[in-house]
Amino acid sequence: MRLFWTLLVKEARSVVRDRQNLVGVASLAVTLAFVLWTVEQTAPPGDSATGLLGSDEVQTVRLVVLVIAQSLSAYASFFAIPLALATFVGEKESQTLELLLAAPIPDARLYVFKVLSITILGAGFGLLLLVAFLGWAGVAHGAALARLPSGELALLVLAALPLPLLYTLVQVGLGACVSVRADSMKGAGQLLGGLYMLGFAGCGGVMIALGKSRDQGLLLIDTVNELSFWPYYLTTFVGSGVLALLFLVVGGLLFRRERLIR
Amino acid sequence: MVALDDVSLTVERGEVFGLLGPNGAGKTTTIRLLAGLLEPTQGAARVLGRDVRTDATWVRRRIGLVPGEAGHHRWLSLVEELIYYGGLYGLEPQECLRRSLPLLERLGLGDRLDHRVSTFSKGMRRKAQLVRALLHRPLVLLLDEPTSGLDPAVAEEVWGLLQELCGDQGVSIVLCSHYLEEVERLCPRIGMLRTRLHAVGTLAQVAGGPQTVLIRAASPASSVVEVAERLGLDQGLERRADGVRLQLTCPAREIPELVRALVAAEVDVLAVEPTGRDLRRAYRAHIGDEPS
Repeated sequence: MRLFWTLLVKEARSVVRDRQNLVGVASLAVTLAFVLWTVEQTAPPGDSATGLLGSDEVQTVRLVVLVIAQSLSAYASFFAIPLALATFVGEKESQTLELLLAAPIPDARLYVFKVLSITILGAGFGLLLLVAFLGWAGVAHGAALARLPSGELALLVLAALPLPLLYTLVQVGLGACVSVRADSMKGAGQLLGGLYMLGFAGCGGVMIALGKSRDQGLLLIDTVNELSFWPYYLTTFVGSGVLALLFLVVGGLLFRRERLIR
Repeated sequence: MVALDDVSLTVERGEVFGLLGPNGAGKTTTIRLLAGLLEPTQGAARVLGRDVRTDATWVRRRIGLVPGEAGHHRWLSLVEELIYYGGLYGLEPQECLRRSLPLLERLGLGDRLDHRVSTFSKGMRRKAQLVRALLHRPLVLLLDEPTSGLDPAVAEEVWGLLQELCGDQGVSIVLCSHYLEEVERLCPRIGMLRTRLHAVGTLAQVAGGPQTVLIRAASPASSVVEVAERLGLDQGLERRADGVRLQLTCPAREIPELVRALVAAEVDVLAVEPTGRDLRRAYRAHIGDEPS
């Protein structure tokens, strides 16, 4: 634990003291304010309440909480990308990697602890954002939330809380894969950008395929009201978990002291 | 591309072994091999009797490394950086402070604990790196050009510390350098490297017999002899027609001392000519390049 704590404290100090990170924190705060304003202003047609969370429809309230929790967590996870990229190639560029690799730490432990320390910092921001949203929802729309079936609110909160960690793990896993292979931060940024473009293109293809399926009556999901809540949640949860695990394992397999030190 | 070929050498406990060679000769690769950062494609490297590949963690725990181009964490103060590196070796923060404070005081960094290392001068950074490398009390020190770019006074401090480490604490040191003066001053044995080890042995074996210096003066030879005896340089002293020849053990230190003492004694010095051992000539002969 001493080693993990050492790495975590070092990363935390760097994050807190680097003023460039304030831009990220400020943008997260603006995003939260914008999301809350949108939720407050937008209501489905026919609903008596003023905003989505004030809806009479229990299903809408449920989904709004989850979708916003997902969106905020996903957005906050981007904060971890530069940290993840810097994990190894950043240290190489600042000429501190050789000393880190010369320490008596087995490869697997070094990789896992470095990745975990970044994940905790990144997920911390997402969790703060999520708690702020849930706190606001409780205060501003307690009555609507109280209409949820008994115990479901607690379940909803429990389901939302791991999301920042999960989404941050995906970003950090991908960032670590790039960081152990890239020769410079610039190269890492370009490589990651390319991978994102591939990912977005893939997502676009999936969306088109889903649209065609809907036209042919094959797709179960059409509008928000028709969305089946828990299967949707579990699908995204498991999907993200698998992706995170895949990236982290690939990053671990790509981790080579000799390659990094060259 | 072959970085190292047919390199075979042993460093004894408490010995400072100097590895001389031009840029790209393989000095850094040798250091990295010994630190377990690189694996040899053929052959083996052992530190304290253990193979650096199979017992990498055990070996790394006992090695202190000062790389040629070591950076610092931009946002950490000196004390935070020392605690960070100590933590990588399992040391508690208090223990890091307890061990590092005497060294920092000695090297003139005692009042810089809360300053960011990134704001330090090159010499101060190098000293901080040396303290960091010594935190976990290594039995073997691997130094890649430890005094590169340092002013003579700082280099002198570092050399003094290194001599103490090997003399008093039995630390074995591998010192890579292309500064002949540094190697001549610190290393009883040296190797000349340029992909292959072209020469290895004691200074006398590699660079020829003992280092001597011929003092030519307008003043009587007796005044030169008197000064030399006062400085303890009477062993091998020889009065000659053209001057007084003295045998030196550490020319880099002794020649300036001798000149200062001769001037202070108002001896009219005409010339101070190093003779005998010539590391520079040996370097040229084995490596082919002009040394730094």
